[in-house]
Amino acid sequence: MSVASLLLALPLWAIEPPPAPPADDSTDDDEIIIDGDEDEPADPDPAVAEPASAEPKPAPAPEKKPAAVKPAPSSEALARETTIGIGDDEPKDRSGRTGSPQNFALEVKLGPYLPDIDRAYSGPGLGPYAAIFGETDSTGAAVDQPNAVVMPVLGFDWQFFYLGGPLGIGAQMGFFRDKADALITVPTDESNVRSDADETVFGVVPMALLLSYRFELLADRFRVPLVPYAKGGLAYAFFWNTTGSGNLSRNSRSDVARGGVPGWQVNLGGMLRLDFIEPGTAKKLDRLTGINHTYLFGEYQISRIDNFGQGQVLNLGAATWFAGLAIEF
Amino acid sequence: MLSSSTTPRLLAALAGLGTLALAGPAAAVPVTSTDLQITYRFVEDDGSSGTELLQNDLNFYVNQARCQCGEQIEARIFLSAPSDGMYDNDFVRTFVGTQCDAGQDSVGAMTRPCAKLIDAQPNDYNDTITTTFDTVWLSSRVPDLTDQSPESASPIDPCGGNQSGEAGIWVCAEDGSQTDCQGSEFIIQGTQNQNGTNSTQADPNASGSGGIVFDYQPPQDTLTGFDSSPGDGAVVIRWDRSNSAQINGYRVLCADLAGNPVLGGASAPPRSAATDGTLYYTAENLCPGEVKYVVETTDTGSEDDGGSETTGDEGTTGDEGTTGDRSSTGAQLDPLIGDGWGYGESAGGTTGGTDDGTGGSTTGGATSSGTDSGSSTGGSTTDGGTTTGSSGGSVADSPLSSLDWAYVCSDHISATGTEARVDGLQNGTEYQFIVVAYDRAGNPVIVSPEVMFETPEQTTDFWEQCEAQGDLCGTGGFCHCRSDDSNPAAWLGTGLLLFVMAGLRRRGNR
Repeated sequence: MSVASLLLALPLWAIEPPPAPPADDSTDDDEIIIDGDEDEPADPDPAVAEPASAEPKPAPAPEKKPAAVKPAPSSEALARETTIGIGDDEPKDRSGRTGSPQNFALEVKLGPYLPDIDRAYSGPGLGPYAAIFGETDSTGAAVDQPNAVVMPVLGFDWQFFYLGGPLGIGAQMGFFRDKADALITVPTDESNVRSDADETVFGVVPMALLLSYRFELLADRFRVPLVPYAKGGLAYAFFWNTTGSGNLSRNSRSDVARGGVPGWQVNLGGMLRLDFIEPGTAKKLDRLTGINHTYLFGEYQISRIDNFGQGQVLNLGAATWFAGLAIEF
Repeated sequence: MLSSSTTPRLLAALAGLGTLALAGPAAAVPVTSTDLQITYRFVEDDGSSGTELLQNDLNFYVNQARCQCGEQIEARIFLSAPSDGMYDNDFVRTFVGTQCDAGQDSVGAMTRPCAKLIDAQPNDYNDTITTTFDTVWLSSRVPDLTDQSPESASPIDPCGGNQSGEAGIWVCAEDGSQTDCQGSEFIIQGTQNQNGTNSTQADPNASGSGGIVFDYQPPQDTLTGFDSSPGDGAVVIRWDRSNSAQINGYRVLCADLAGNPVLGGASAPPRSAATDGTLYYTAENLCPGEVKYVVETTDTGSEDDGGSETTGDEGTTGDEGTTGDRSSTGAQLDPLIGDGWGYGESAGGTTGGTDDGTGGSTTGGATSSGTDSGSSTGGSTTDGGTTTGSSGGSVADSPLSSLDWAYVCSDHISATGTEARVDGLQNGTEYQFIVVAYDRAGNPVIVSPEVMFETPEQTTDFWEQCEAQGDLCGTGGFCHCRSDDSNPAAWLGTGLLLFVMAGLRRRGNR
């Protein structure tokens, strides 16, 4: 199933009815009882309340209990007792959200990545990146574009403002690495143009400083577990290329194969809030760990990491997609 | 006249004297194993006493090269005072070796006596007796009982390449019934010391006995899959992984076709260096020109010249110039497995060695067994500078077979390693390579069956390819901020960042 079809199908599957009347929300009732217990003063520790003493204390004089039976609680009191923490009456922050304060998001994602280095190549045949890392024939000669490499990415957001959803600023960092046998410069044996001894490795660490917005209003207020989001900002990617000996490569000008390239990046995606699967567990998780929500998400990312088109530099950006898990806390 | 008061006292005194006269002098007790303490120490180059041997030294210090170089170990033997009485006057004799009891009982082709270090009475041991012995005596024995002095007797099969085992100080406390020591009179049997215990080779962490392990036998495993690949100023040597427990590591040796070391080579490990499992030792490297015991190498049998049989006779040992003929001594038994030695039982004949026997300057006589273990090494000597100019050359014909550390071209490669990369070579120049494996004690053996010849060649990596195809990658570096061209995208990105920062600042002010 493609990501697009998944995103389309999810609303139909996951939408829940509006909040039921308090009396019917048994799950929340359970939580209310727990809340109520926590709010009550804890039973004093006998060891603390009554420290061991060598001298026996005189027994307190027995109190005479009133003969009258304790009156039954009023209906207002019962109603108040059974509605604490339910629905609209649950404690909310100033943005109208329930649960613990939500300030951060952390996400881990994976996706195919192939730096668009050959984008600027206009000569015949394959570009330099494909010539080294591309698909090869039996002789080792490149005949097609290289396969993308699965790249892990770690992202973090600080959500500093709520406007129908958190507005945040964050950073993300990935790690890309590809390797191939180096080409023999003047092959004497046409049946093999690659060196078995020299493996060239190209690595990239793309990073980004992104302004993000996640539209969580529907999920917060109407229990639609979908959160579309967008990110955009500046990117910077470190790169390096090593030779078979493991040293950094040098070209004929002795330029060392390492550096960094700035650029920009945009991410568009949707998140599936997983709280609907076990709402009670989600609340308990929030109460115990401060994790407000957990998500499964997919996104499309486009980046142009080429010094904004200035000068002769590597283009380390790519247009690709990612999928992963995220939490807000 | 005696007074009535003194008479009882006198009687009592006389009674006491009578009792003493009946009891006689204090009883003489024999020396027992618990009365002796033995400590092993290194001997420095100047002959002074060094530090005590530790467990690692008990296990791995004594290798074939050290044996050949006459490395010494000091033994301090202390006899504590008896708890009761005094020691008898029977001789307490100290030997060094393994299974010394059997050698004392009967001397034959398979059982020989150990070298005797000390002949003394117990009183002589009251102060610690210090003695030193060549490590060769841990494994070798003397021909017969007529001369057991390590100073004058000749060791049998000194440092022979197939020997490994455990040895140490043996002490015999005679019971006076027969002259000289009998097997049953040994109270210390080579495995007692104050240094600690050794461990088994299979499990270095396990405690064993208190003997000194000697190991002259390099790894015996056959490795396969050797292959060389040219790189850019480099050559990669590969081989199949070995599961051998004997191999502790590898090194690659290389030279140009003229036999000259390349890359400057490496320094041979000093004699005092601890055996850490990353070095190999040959006598020529460890004590050049001072090889004391020459190994009588084992002929593989591939060369049968029918020549006169030359065995490892005691008359030739220790003389570097007389054993360059690669004579063979067959059927040498492991001292811990068999009960004797292969002395005098030659299985082959003198091979076609060409050593002139004039002082051990060639590799034929004095080098370790590493040069003689491969299938292609039998009977040949090194004639430095041999060039074949083609692949698959004989190891014995290569100067690399000397295992000189000047030829070492790689760092230590672990036992599980299957690849070595030699960098710093010249493209277009042909080189020769061999691979040496060694055990934990540092006994080397050439494991590559043939000399590998390879010529490094220039290769093109991504960075160079990028330059070749239009200089697409630029010059590298981390900052590309200085540009003569203006571009709105750069300003847009900067503006976006400033916008975010301003928003955060406003929020902070609130």
